[in-house]
Amino acid sequence: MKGINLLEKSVVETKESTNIKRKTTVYSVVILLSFTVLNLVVFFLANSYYKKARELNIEIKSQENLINSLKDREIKYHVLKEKMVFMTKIFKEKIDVGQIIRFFEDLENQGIYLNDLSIAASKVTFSAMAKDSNTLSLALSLFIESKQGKKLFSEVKLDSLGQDKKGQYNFTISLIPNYYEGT
Amino acid sequence: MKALKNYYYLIISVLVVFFLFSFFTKKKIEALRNNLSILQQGREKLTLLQKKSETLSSFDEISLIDQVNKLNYILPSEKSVAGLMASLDLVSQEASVSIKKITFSPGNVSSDKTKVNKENFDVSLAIEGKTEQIKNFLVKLKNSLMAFNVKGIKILKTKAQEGSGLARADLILTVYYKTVTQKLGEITKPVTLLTKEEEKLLLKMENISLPSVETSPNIPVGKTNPFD
Repeated sequence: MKGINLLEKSVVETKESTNIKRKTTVYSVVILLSFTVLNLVVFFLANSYYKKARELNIEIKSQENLINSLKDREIKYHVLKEKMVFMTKIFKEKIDVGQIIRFFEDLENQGIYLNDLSIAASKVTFSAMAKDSNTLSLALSLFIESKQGKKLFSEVKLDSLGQDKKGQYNFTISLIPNYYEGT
Repeated sequence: MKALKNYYYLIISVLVVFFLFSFFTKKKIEALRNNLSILQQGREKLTLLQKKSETLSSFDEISLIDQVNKLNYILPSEKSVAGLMASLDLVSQEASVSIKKITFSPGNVSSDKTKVNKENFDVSLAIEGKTEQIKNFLVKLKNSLMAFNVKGIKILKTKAQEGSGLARADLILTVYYKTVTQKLGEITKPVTLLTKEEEKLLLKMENISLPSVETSPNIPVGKTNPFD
Protein backbone atom coordinates (compact mmCIF):
# COMPACT_ATOMS: atom_id res chain seq x y z
CA MET A 1 0.00 0.00 0.00
CA LYS A 2 1.45 3.19 -1.17
CA GLY A 3 2.05 6.23 0.98
CA ILE A 4 1.93 4.34 4.24
CA ASN A 5 5.02 5.01 6.31
CA LEU A 6 5.07 2.97 9.40
CA LEU A 7 8.26 4.63 10.74
CA GLU A 8 8.06 7.70 12.96
CA LYS A 9 8.85 11.05 11.46
CA SER A 10 11.90 11.66 13.64
CA VAL A 11 13.38 8.32 12.60
CA VAL A 12 12.95 9.17 8.91
CA GLU A 13 14.57 12.58 9.45
CA THR A 14 17.55 11.05 11.27
CA LYS A 15 18.11 8.58 8.45
CA GLU A 16 18.14 11.38 5.83
CA SER A 17 20.39 13.49 7.97
CA THR A 18 22.86 10.64 8.35
CA ASN A 19 22.93 10.15 4.59
CA ILE A 20 23.65 13.81 4.02
CA LYS A 21 26.33 13.81 6.69
CA ARG A 22 27.95 10.79 5.11
CA LYS A 23 27.97 12.44 1.70
CA THR A 24 29.31 15.76 2.96
CA THR A 25 32.01 13.97 4.91
CA VAL A 26 33.08 12.16 1.76
CA TYR A 27 33.10 15.41 -0.20
CA SER A 28 35.11 17.15 2.51
CA VAL A 29 37.66 14.37 2.53
CA VAL A 30 37.89 14.50 -1.28
CA ILE A 31 38.38 18.28 -1.21
CA LEU A 32 41.02 18.10 1.48
CA LEU A 33 42.80 15.23 -0.21
CA SER A 34 42.80 17.02 -3.57
CA PHE A 35 44.14 20.12 -1.94
CA THR A 36 46.88 18.11 -0.27
CA VAL A 37 47.81 16.45 -3.55
CA LEU A 38 47.94 19.86 -5.24
CA ASN A 39 50.28 21.17 -2.58
CA LEU A 40 52.47 18.09 -2.85
CA VAL A 41 52.69 18.49 -6.63
CA VAL A 42 53.61 22.16 -6.24
CA PHE A 43 56.22 21.24 -3.64
CA PHE A 44 57.85 18.56 -5.80
CA LEU A 45 57.80 20.75 -8.93
CA ALA A 46 59.37 23.63 -7.03
CA ASN A 47 62.10 21.29 -5.79
CA SER A 48 62.69 19.89 -9.24
CA TYR A 49 62.94 23.36 -10.84
CA TYR A 50 65.23 24.48 -8.05
CA LYS A 51 67.62 21.60 -8.82
CA LYS A 52 67.44 22.28 -12.56
CA ALA A 53 68.05 25.99 -12.00
CA ARG A 54 71.09 25.21 -9.86
CA GLU A 55 72.55 22.89 -12.52
CA LEU A 56 71.78 25.44 -15.20
CA ASN A 57 73.54 28.18 -13.24
CA ILE A 58 76.60 25.99 -12.89
CA GLU A 59 76.68 25.38 -16.66
CA ILE A 60 76.14 29.08 -17.38
CA LYS A 61 78.97 29.99 -15.03
CA SER A 62 81.24 27.48 -16.74
CA GLN A 63 80.45 28.89 -20.20
CA GLU A 64 80.98 32.45 -18.97
CA ASN A 65 84.37 31.48 -17.57
CA LEU A 66 85.30 29.90 -20.89
CA ILE A 67 84.25 33.01 -22.80
CA ASN A 68 86.15 35.25 -20.39
CA SER A 69 89.26 33.15 -20.94
CA LEU A 70 88.85 33.79 -24.70
CA LYS A 71 88.31 37.54 -24.24
CA ASP A 72 91.56 38.47 -25.98
CA ARG A 73 90.52 36.50 -29.01
CA GLU A 74 87.11 38.14 -28.97
CA ILE A 75 88.63 41.63 -28.82
CA LYS A 76 90.97 40.85 -31.73
CA TYR A 77 88.13 39.52 -33.84
CA HIS A 78 86.01 42.54 -32.96
CA VAL A 79 88.82 44.86 -34.14
CA LEU A 80 89.20 42.78 -37.29
CA LYS A 81 85.47 42.92 -38.03
CA GLU A 82 85.13 46.66 -37.42
CA LYS A 83 88.12 47.45 -39.61
CA MET A 84 87.03 45.09 -42.38
CA VAL A 85 83.61 46.74 -42.51
CA PHE A 86 85.38 50.09 -42.91
CA MET A 87 87.85 48.75 -45.50
CA THR A 88 85.07 47.23 -47.61
CA LYS A 89 83.34 50.60 -47.61
CA ILE A 90 86.55 52.40 -48.68
CA PHE A 91 87.15 49.91 -51.46
CA LYS A 92 83.69 50.42 -52.86
CA GLU A 93 84.28 54.18 -52.93
CA LYS A 94 87.70 54.04 -54.64
CA ILE A 95 87.64 56.16 -57.77
CA ASP A 96 88.89 54.34 -60.85
CA VAL A 97 91.11 57.15 -62.03
CA GLY A 98 93.03 54.81 -64.29
CA GLN A 99 89.97 54.11 -66.41
CA ILE A 100 89.39 57.83 -66.96
CA ILE A 101 93.01 58.42 -67.86
CA ARG A 102 92.93 55.55 -70.34
CA PHE A 103 89.96 57.24 -71.99
CA PHE A 104 91.88 60.47 -72.35
CA GLU A 105 94.82 58.58 -73.83
CA ASP A 106 92.45 57.42 -76.55
CA LEU A 107 91.60 61.08 -77.13
CA GLU A 108 95.24 61.85 -77.67
CA ASN A 109 95.40 59.06 -80.20
CA GLN A 110 92.62 60.85 -82.14
CA GLY A 111 94.78 63.95 -82.50
CA ILE A 112 93.67 65.90 -79.40
CA TYR A 113 96.60 67.33 -77.50
CA LEU A 114 95.87 67.38 -73.76
CA ASN A 115 97.19 70.36 -71.81
CA ASP A 116 95.94 69.50 -68.40
CA LEU A 117 93.45 67.18 -66.77
CA SER A 118 91.83 67.54 -63.41
CA ILE A 119 89.86 64.68 -61.83
CA ALA A 120 87.90 65.23 -58.67
CA ALA A 121 85.12 63.23 -57.02
CA SER A 122 82.39 65.40 -58.53
CA LYS A 123 83.90 66.83 -61.70
CA VAL A 124 86.47 66.15 -64.42
CA THR A 125 87.90 69.14 -66.28
CA PHE A 126 90.45 69.18 -69.05
CA SER A 127 91.89 71.66 -71.47
CA ALA A 128 93.19 70.54 -74.82
CA MET A 129 94.01 71.56 -78.33
CA ALA A 130 92.53 70.21 -81.56
CA LYS A 131 94.29 70.82 -84.86
CA ASP A 132 91.05 71.50 -86.75
CA SER A 133 87.26 71.58 -86.40
CA ASN A 134 86.86 67.94 -87.49
CA THR A 135 89.17 66.79 -84.73
CA LEU A 136 87.26 68.97 -82.27
CA SER A 137 83.90 67.43 -83.32
CA LEU A 138 85.42 64.00 -83.06
CA ALA A 139 86.56 64.78 -79.52
CA LEU A 140 83.11 65.94 -78.49
CA SER A 141 81.41 62.96 -80.08
CA LEU A 142 83.68 60.59 -78.16
CA PHE A 143 82.21 61.92 -74.93
CA ILE A 144 78.63 62.13 -76.08
CA GLU A 145 78.17 59.21 -78.45
CA SER A 146 80.78 56.56 -77.72
CA LYS A 147 79.97 53.60 -75.48
CA GLN A 148 82.93 54.24 -73.20
CA GLY A 149 82.19 57.98 -72.97
CA LYS A 150 78.58 57.33 -71.98
CA LYS A 151 79.70 54.77 -69.42
CA LEU A 152 82.17 57.17 -67.77
CA PHE A 153 80.43 60.54 -67.96
CA SER A 154 76.88 61.70 -67.48
CA GLU A 155 77.25 65.34 -68.46
CA VAL A 156 79.52 67.16 -70.93
CA LYS A 157 79.96 70.92 -70.97
CA LEU A 158 82.13 72.99 -73.28
CA ASP A 159 83.38 75.72 -70.95
CA SER A 160 85.52 77.65 -73.42
CA LEU A 161 86.55 77.55 -77.04
CA GLY A 162 89.04 79.66 -78.96
CA GLN A 163 91.03 79.55 -82.15
CA ASP A 164 94.63 80.62 -82.46
CA LYS A 165 96.47 82.10 -85.43
CA LYS A 166 97.44 78.65 -86.68
CA GLY A 167 93.77 77.69 -86.86
CA GLN A 168 94.07 75.27 -83.97
CA TYR A 169 91.25 75.12 -81.44
CA ASN A 170 91.95 75.49 -77.72
CA PHE A 171 89.08 74.39 -75.53
CA THR A 172 88.10 73.44 -72.02
CA ILE A 173 85.51 70.80 -71.24
CA SER A 174 84.04 69.85 -67.89
CA LEU A 175 82.36 66.53 -67.26
CA ILE A 176 80.32 64.95 -64.49
CA PRO A 177 81.66 61.44 -63.92
CA ASN A 178 79.18 58.61 -63.51
CA TYR A 179 80.72 57.47 -60.21
CA TYR A 180 79.55 60.72 -58.65
CA GLU A 181 76.05 60.30 -57.25
CA GLY A 182 75.67 63.95 -56.33
CA THR A 183 74.27 65.42 -53.09
CA MET B 1 19.77 25.56 11.28
CA LYS B 2 19.45 21.83 11.81
CA ALA B 3 19.86 21.28 8.09
CA LEU B 4 23.04 23.39 8.17
CA LYS B 5 24.52 21.11 10.81
CA ASN B 6 24.72 18.33 8.25
CA TYR B 7 27.01 20.49 6.11
CA TYR B 8 29.42 21.54 8.87
CA TYR B 9 32.28 19.33 7.68
CA LEU B 10 31.88 20.43 4.10
CA ILE B 11 31.73 24.13 4.96
CA ILE B 12 34.73 23.91 7.25
CA SER B 13 36.81 21.98 4.73
CA VAL B 14 35.94 24.47 1.98
CA LEU B 15 36.85 27.40 4.26
CA VAL B 16 40.13 25.76 5.28
CA VAL B 17 41.05 25.03 1.67
CA PHE B 18 40.09 28.54 0.61
CA PHE B 19 42.15 30.10 3.38
CA LEU B 20 45.23 27.95 2.79
CA PHE B 21 45.02 28.43 -0.96
CA SER B 22 44.73 32.21 -0.74
CA PHE B 23 47.57 32.70 1.73
CA PHE B 24 50.01 29.95 0.85
CA THR B 25 49.37 27.79 -2.19
CA LYS B 26 48.62 30.69 -4.54
CA LYS B 27 51.98 32.30 -3.72
CA LYS B 28 53.76 29.02 -4.21
CA ILE B 29 52.16 28.58 -7.63
CA GLU B 30 53.14 32.13 -8.66
CA ALA B 31 56.70 31.51 -7.50
CA LEU B 32 56.72 28.29 -9.49
CA ARG B 33 55.60 30.12 -12.64
CA ASN B 34 58.33 32.74 -12.12
CA ASN B 35 60.92 30.03 -11.66
CA LEU B 36 59.73 28.36 -14.85
CA SER B 37 60.18 31.55 -16.84
CA ILE B 38 63.61 32.14 -15.23
CA LEU B 39 64.57 28.60 -16.13
CA GLN B 40 63.49 29.20 -19.73
CA GLN B 41 65.53 32.43 -19.88
CA GLY B 42 68.47 30.60 -18.37
CA ARG B 43 68.27 27.92 -21.06
CA GLU B 44 68.19 30.58 -23.79
CA LYS B 45 71.17 32.33 -22.21
CA LEU B 46 73.05 29.05 -22.04
CA THR B 47 72.37 28.38 -25.74
CA LEU B 48 73.76 31.82 -26.65
CA LEU B 49 76.82 31.33 -24.48
CA GLN B 50 77.50 27.87 -25.89
CA LYS B 51 77.22 29.16 -29.44
CA LYS B 52 79.54 32.07 -28.66
CA SER B 53 82.17 29.92 -26.95
CA GLU B 54 82.10 27.46 -29.88
CA THR B 55 82.61 30.34 -32.33
CA LEU B 56 85.46 31.84 -30.34
CA SER B 57 87.11 28.45 -29.88
CA SER B 58 87.01 27.87 -33.65
CA PHE B 59 89.22 30.92 -34.38
CA ASP B 60 92.88 30.19 -34.93
CA GLU B 61 94.73 32.47 -32.52
CA ILE B 62 97.92 32.70 -34.57
CA SER B 63 96.30 33.57 -37.88
CA LEU B 64 94.00 36.01 -36.09
CA ILE B 65 97.00 37.85 -34.62
CA ASP B 66 98.64 37.91 -38.05
CA GLN B 67 95.49 39.24 -39.71
CA VAL B 68 95.02 41.95 -37.10
CA ASN B 69 98.68 43.01 -37.38
CA LYS B 70 98.39 43.33 -41.16
CA LEU B 71 95.12 45.16 -40.89
CA ASN B 72 96.60 47.57 -38.34
CA TYR B 73 99.35 48.30 -40.86
CA ILE B 74 96.94 48.82 -43.76
CA LEU B 75 94.34 50.71 -41.74
CA PRO B 76 96.03 52.10 -38.65
CA SER B 77 94.13 52.91 -35.48
CA GLU B 78 95.63 56.39 -35.43
CA LYS B 79 96.95 58.85 -37.99
CA SER B 80 100.06 57.11 -39.29
CA VAL B 81 102.44 59.00 -41.50
CA ALA B 82 105.22 56.39 -41.52
CA GLY B 83 103.05 53.66 -43.03
CA LEU B 84 101.70 56.04 -45.64
CA MET B 85 105.20 57.18 -46.65
CA ALA B 86 106.37 53.58 -46.95
CA SER B 87 103.37 52.66 -49.13
CA LEU B 88 103.69 55.69 -51.41
CA ASP B 89 107.39 55.08 -51.76
CA LEU B 90 106.79 51.46 -52.72
CA VAL B 91 104.07 52.32 -55.27
CA SER B 92 106.14 55.12 -56.83
CA GLN B 93 109.13 52.78 -57.21
CA GLU B 94 106.98 50.09 -58.80
CA ALA B 95 105.49 52.64 -61.24
CA SER B 96 108.84 54.38 -61.82
CA VAL B 97 107.56 57.85 -60.99
CA SER B 98 109.32 60.31 -58.76
CA ILE B 99 107.60 62.00 -55.87
CA LYS B 100 108.36 65.70 -56.00
CA LYS B 101 106.39 66.98 -53.06
CA ILE B 102 104.23 65.68 -50.22
CA THR B 103 102.11 67.93 -48.05
CA PHE B 104 100.18 66.62 -45.08
CA SER B 105 97.05 68.08 -43.61
CA PRO B 106 96.67 65.89 -40.55
CA GLY B 107 94.19 68.17 -38.81
CA ASN B 108 94.14 69.35 -35.21
CA VAL B 109 96.38 68.02 -32.50
CA SER B 110 94.66 65.01 -31.12
CA SER B 111 92.24 65.54 -28.31
CA ASP B 112 89.11 63.70 -27.29
CA LYS B 113 86.89 66.08 -29.23
CA THR B 114 88.88 66.01 -32.44
CA LYS B 115 89.29 62.22 -32.36
CA VAL B 116 85.58 61.56 -32.42
CA ASN B 117 84.13 60.76 -35.88
CA LYS B 118 87.30 61.86 -37.73
CA GLU B 119 88.70 58.91 -39.62
CA ASN B 120 90.73 60.45 -42.41
CA PHE B 121 93.12 63.19 -43.37
CA ASP B 122 94.30 64.60 -46.69
CA VAL B 123 97.69 64.35 -48.29
CA SER B 124 98.77 66.39 -51.32
CA LEU B 125 101.25 64.68 -53.55
CA ALA B 126 103.12 65.84 -56.64
CA ILE B 127 104.64 63.17 -58.87
CA GLU B 128 106.50 63.36 -62.14
CA GLY B 129 106.93 60.82 -64.86
CA LYS B 130 105.75 59.82 -68.29
CA THR B 131 102.00 59.72 -68.78
CA GLU B 132 102.09 55.91 -68.94
CA GLN B 133 104.02 55.78 -65.68
CA ILE B 134 101.62 58.18 -63.99
CA LYS B 135 98.76 56.04 -65.18
CA ASN B 136 100.47 52.95 -63.75
CA PHE B 137 100.98 54.76 -60.47
CA LEU B 138 97.27 55.56 -60.28
CA VAL B 139 96.27 52.01 -61.17
CA LYS B 140 98.64 50.64 -58.52
CA LEU B 141 97.23 53.12 -55.99
CA LYS B 142 93.72 51.99 -56.78
CA ASN B 143 94.67 48.32 -56.59
CA SER B 144 96.80 48.85 -53.52
CA LEU B 145 95.22 47.56 -50.39
CA MET B 146 96.33 50.57 -48.43
CA ALA B 147 93.50 52.56 -46.95
CA PHE B 148 93.56 55.63 -49.06
CA ASN B 149 91.55 56.99 -51.92
CA VAL B 150 92.33 59.47 -54.68
CA LYS B 151 90.23 62.51 -53.88
CA GLY B 152 91.42 64.54 -56.84
CA ILE B 153 94.11 64.57 -59.49
CA LYS B 154 95.44 67.18 -61.84
CA ILE B 155 97.74 66.17 -64.67
CA LEU B 156 99.79 68.93 -66.25
CA LYS B 157 102.25 69.02 -69.07
CA THR B 158 104.46 71.98 -68.47
CA LYS B 159 106.35 73.74 -71.26
CA ALA B 160 109.59 72.35 -69.91
CA GLN B 161 108.13 68.87 -70.17
CA GLU B 162 106.71 69.27 -73.68
CA GLY B 163 108.37 66.95 -76.11
CA SER B 164 110.01 64.99 -73.31
CA GLY B 165 106.87 62.97 -72.78
CA LEU B 166 106.99 63.85 -69.09
CA ALA B 167 104.06 65.13 -67.13
CA ARG B 168 103.38 66.19 -63.60
CA ALA B 169 100.43 65.01 -61.57
CA ASP B 170 99.15 66.73 -58.44
CA LEU B 171 97.11 64.36 -56.36
CA ILE B 172 95.06 64.75 -53.25
CA LEU B 173 94.77 61.52 -51.34
CA THR B 174 92.36 60.85 -48.54
CA VAL B 175 94.16 58.65 -46.04
CA TYR B 176 92.01 56.64 -43.67
CA TYR B 177 92.49 55.34 -40.18
CA LYS B 178 90.03 53.70 -37.83
CA THR B 179 89.96 53.78 -34.07
CA VAL B 180 88.07 50.79 -32.73
CA THR B 181 86.74 50.80 -29.19
CA GLN B 182 87.58 47.61 -27.36
CA LYS B 183 84.36 47.56 -25.39
CA LEU B 184 82.60 44.31 -26.16
CA GLY B 185 79.23 44.79 -24.51
CA GLU B 186 77.33 42.02 -22.70
CA ILE B 187 78.79 38.56 -22.48
CA THR B 188 75.76 37.09 -24.28
CA LYS B 189 76.24 39.39 -27.27
CA PRO B 190 76.98 37.06 -30.20
CA VAL B 191 80.14 37.37 -32.29
CA THR B 192 79.40 39.13 -35.60
CA LEU B 193 81.17 37.11 -38.27
CA LEU B 194 82.79 38.51 -41.41
CA THR B 195 80.63 38.58 -44.51
CA LYS B 196 81.74 36.79 -47.69
CA GLU B 197 82.79 40.12 -49.20
CA GLU B 198 84.90 40.96 -46.16
CA GLU B 199 86.47 37.51 -46.14
CA LYS B 200 87.42 37.90 -49.80
CA LEU B 201 89.11 41.23 -49.09
CA LEU B 202 90.85 39.78 -46.05
CA LEU B 203 92.21 36.94 -48.19
CA LYS B 204 93.80 39.53 -50.51
CA MET B 205 95.41 41.21 -47.51
CA GLU B 206 96.96 37.98 -46.35
CA ASN B 207 99.29 38.12 -49.34
CA ILE B 208 100.83 41.35 -48.17
CA SER B 209 104.17 41.01 -46.47
CA LEU B 210 104.76 43.56 -43.77
CA PRO B 211 107.96 45.64 -44.03
CA SER B 212 110.55 44.49 -41.56
CA VAL B 213 111.38 46.90 -38.80
CA GLU B 214 115.09 47.53 -38.57
CA THR B 215 116.29 47.87 -35.03
CA SER B 216 119.18 50.21 -34.47
CA PRO B 217 122.39 48.47 -33.40
CA ASN B 218 123.59 48.84 -29.86
CA ILE B 219 125.80 51.89 -29.82
CA PRO B 220 128.05 52.22 -26.81
CA VAL B 221 127.15 55.35 -24.91
CA GLY B 222 130.55 55.85 -23.30
CA LYS B 223 131.24 56.69 -19.67
CA THR B 224 128.30 57.64 -17.60
CA ASN B 225 130.56 59.74 -15.39
CA PRO B 226 133.10 61.71 -17.52
CA PHE B 227 135.24 62.51 -14.45
CA ASP B 228 135.75 58.84 -13.64
